[in-house]
Amino acid sequence: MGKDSLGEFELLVLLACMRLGEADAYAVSIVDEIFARTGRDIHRAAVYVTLQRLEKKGLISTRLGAPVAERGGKARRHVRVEAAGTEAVRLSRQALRNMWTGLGTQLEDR
Amino acid sequence: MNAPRLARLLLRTCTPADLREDTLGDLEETYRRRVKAGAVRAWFVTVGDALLIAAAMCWRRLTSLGGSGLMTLHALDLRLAARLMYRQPLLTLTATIALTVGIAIATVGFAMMEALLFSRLPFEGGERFLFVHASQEPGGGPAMLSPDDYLAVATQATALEHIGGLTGSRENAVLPSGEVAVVTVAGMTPSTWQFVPHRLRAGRPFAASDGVSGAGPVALVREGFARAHIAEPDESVASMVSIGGVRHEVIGVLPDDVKFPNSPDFWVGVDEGFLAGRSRPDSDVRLLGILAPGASLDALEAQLEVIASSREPGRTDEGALRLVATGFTDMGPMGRDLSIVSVVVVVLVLLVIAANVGNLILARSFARTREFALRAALGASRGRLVTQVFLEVLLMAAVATAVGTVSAQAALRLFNTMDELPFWVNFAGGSRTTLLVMISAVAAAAVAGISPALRATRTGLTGCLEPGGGRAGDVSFGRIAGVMVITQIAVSIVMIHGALVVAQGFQKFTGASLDLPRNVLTSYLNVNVVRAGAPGVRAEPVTAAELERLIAGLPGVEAIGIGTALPRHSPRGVPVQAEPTGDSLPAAARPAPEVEVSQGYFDALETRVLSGRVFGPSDLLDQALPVAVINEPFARKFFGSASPLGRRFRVSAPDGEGPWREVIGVVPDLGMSVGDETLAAGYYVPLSAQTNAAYLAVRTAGDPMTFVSAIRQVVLDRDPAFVFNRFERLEAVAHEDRDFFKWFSMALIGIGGVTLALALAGVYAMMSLIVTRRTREIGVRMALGASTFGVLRTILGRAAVQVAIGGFAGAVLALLSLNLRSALVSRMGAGAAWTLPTVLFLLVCAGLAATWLPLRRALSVQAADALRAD
Repeated sequence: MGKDSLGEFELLVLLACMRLGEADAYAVSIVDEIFARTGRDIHRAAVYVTLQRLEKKGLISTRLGAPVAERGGKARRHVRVEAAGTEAVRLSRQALRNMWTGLGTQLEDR
Repeated sequence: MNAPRLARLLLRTCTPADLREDTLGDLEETYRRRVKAGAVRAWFVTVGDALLIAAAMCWRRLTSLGGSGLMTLHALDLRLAARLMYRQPLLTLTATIALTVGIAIATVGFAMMEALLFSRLPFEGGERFLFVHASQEPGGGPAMLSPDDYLAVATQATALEHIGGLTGSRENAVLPSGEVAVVTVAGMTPSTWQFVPHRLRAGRPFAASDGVSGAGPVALVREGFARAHIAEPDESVASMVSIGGVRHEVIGVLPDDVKFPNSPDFWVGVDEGFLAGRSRPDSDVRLLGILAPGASLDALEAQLEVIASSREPGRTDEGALRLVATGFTDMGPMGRDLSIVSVVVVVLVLLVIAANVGNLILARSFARTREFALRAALGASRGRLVTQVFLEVLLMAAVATAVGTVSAQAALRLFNTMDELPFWVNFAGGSRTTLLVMISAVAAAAVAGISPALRATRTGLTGCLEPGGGRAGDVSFGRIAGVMVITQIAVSIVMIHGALVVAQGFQKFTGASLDLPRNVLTSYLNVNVVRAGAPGVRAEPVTAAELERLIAGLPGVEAIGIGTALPRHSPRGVPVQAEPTGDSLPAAARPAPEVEVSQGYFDALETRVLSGRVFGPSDLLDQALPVAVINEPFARKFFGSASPLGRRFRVSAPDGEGPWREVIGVVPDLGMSVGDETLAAGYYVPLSAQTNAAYLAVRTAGDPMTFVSAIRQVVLDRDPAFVFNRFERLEAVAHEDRDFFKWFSMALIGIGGVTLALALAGVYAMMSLIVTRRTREIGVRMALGASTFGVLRTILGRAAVQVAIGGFAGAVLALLSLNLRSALVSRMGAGAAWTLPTVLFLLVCAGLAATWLPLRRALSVQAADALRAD
């Protein structure tokens, strides 16, 4: 895989952001989404670092929302998946599909 | 209901500004969710979250800089630190040396702690070896186990894979050549041998059959010993060696690196019958256990508790039985205490050193206030400024760590050469030592760097850049630092004075010109001691008188004597009171050493009798009148210029008075108490029949060491269990004392020197700070016509007061501590009268040297420059 291809965790975070949509995608909800769909209890610190990395790669952009009372008056940082991010997810899916092809029998045997 | 303050603080401090808002918001949100399930748990989980996030953010900030992360971030700071170190060599050298000393001491202390607490037998499975101790409750005294007790432990302690017995002793060995040698012997149940990793040089190891009652005595021998005293390994096998009076067949030769259990010359089998409950072992057998793989010490202790409680209650006179297991290498409370002491000393020394270095750094940081202000004005945060100072000290600490650990390794190698050290103890230091030293170095750098930097950048940095602006903040040399300087000066005086006194004692000790013969052989021996239980040993031990008679009969022996002390042994003094003459009042008792000697003692030492006579056969009889032979200093001290012959004296101790003893002769000072003239006056009394420990002195025709074997042989023929300790020439007597003097003196000089250096570093730091702070004031005063003396008095005032207080306290303590030192080393003396004034003079000189550079800087201040500087 190329240098800029997505890591497994990056892919999970991007997929969670895409599922949640810009309005609901922020660190806490991303953690919840990944846990709900994969059962993986990831730490928020990992999400922060990954979001920073994805933003630096230009795959996502973030913006601060309005202050929220239940967050002690603090705003949420909403995540938006950019076109480059969507394209990266697509490429990852294609790569995985290619690797998947022909392995069905073996996996069933297991 | 806000998230924990600690968690918020962590995030505020560690997250970048652009992420702070939402990370804090996320923290609040998750905390409020969690708190519904329990406030306490929510608190801990949230703080844990914050810690992880903070750590991740810090790491991200470092690595996001690309390349070499930390180095990239602080490359400029490090370069600046290196340049500052180069441009201020004196400060750099002082601080680095101080830190080096601290790190070296820390390395030694931590290595000692690691060796004492974490040593393990150096072979596979060694950590499973342990001892089982039997004691009686209450009281905790040792308990004698019955054969049934041994059987119970051997069969019911299933957590043990093996149980056996060990002994250790020094014995006489009569070798195949007829040579007699004192050897170290390890007794071991033969079945234990299979658990000790080894490879034989020749022969066979112990077999289970060697431990059966009635089996012939067999022994394994160390290769080095076999080569030196028996034969080549292959030829040594099947040799017969008498060990402790019992003939053993050598069945195998082991390489020198096999040292279990006590670095012996010979391993002999111990009858295993006691483990089967058939017999009671020798009283000195220690019960050795080897834990089964996977079994824990706790499980074993639980089993031992059950076994002990199942034994007959009150089976001993004292109480119930208690069985306890301890690791083979467990040093017990002594090891733990020593470790605690060494760690406490290390921490204290490091703290003092770090505080001193911190004072130096504070002085320099204060001088750099303008630089800090400029950097702050250009956008550097206070944290960045503090980090820079910390990195400077860290750089010095890194150099100090490299030098300090290498120096410490040299000292630790010396420790490892100590004869009495168990073979498994290694002071080389391991991973724990390395880790602790590194933590200590960083901690010392933090104490020495961060605190001064925080003080120097405390407030109002920008004010320094304004025209006529003063120094930033109220940076001052604190009271604690002042007290520390005073304490260090006092301690250094005590140490250095002590070192000089000991050195003088050492010089007198080694330089004393004693008129003694050179052909005298000596040995320390225990007479009248029955060695019970040793098989084949006659129950009646040889007596001192018999010993003299046996050895005197050897050809070439010119004279033999026995005494409780030999020249240079310096026995402790007892209070002696001379009998008053005529109407004079009885004099107060004064200390004088007493030595018990046999009739031949003076002859063996070729003693010239100055007047009167020495002891004859009638003086040694039980009903003989108490008499004494005194030495010349004793005659002068107690009887003045009058003839002492016929005069009487007695021991006048608080717990009772001895009989009056009549002086029958005077001999020269035979080195009664070399090194301490106050105890040179001593006397000799006839050897008591009850004396057990004494020294043998044999004057021979020719080299005395060639008589060792013959003397051993003739005594062993009479008493096979009699053990001579080391033989040595008379002139080598008390070389341990000489070594002790040397080491004690060197240690005191070392510690005193380091303490003085630290104290002077403190004085230097204080003076530097004062001059730096008051440059402007000095300039103005000089401009207004103040005299040089006036300026000097102002500047020197505080330093002079501290040096004076420290010097006075140190002098008083030094004099007081003489008594303490004399209690430790009886022959040390009080030192020459010039000792203390010399130390004080040295202190003044050193103090002046420490203040010279700052003073020179102060006196060179020009008013115009000083005013322009601000």
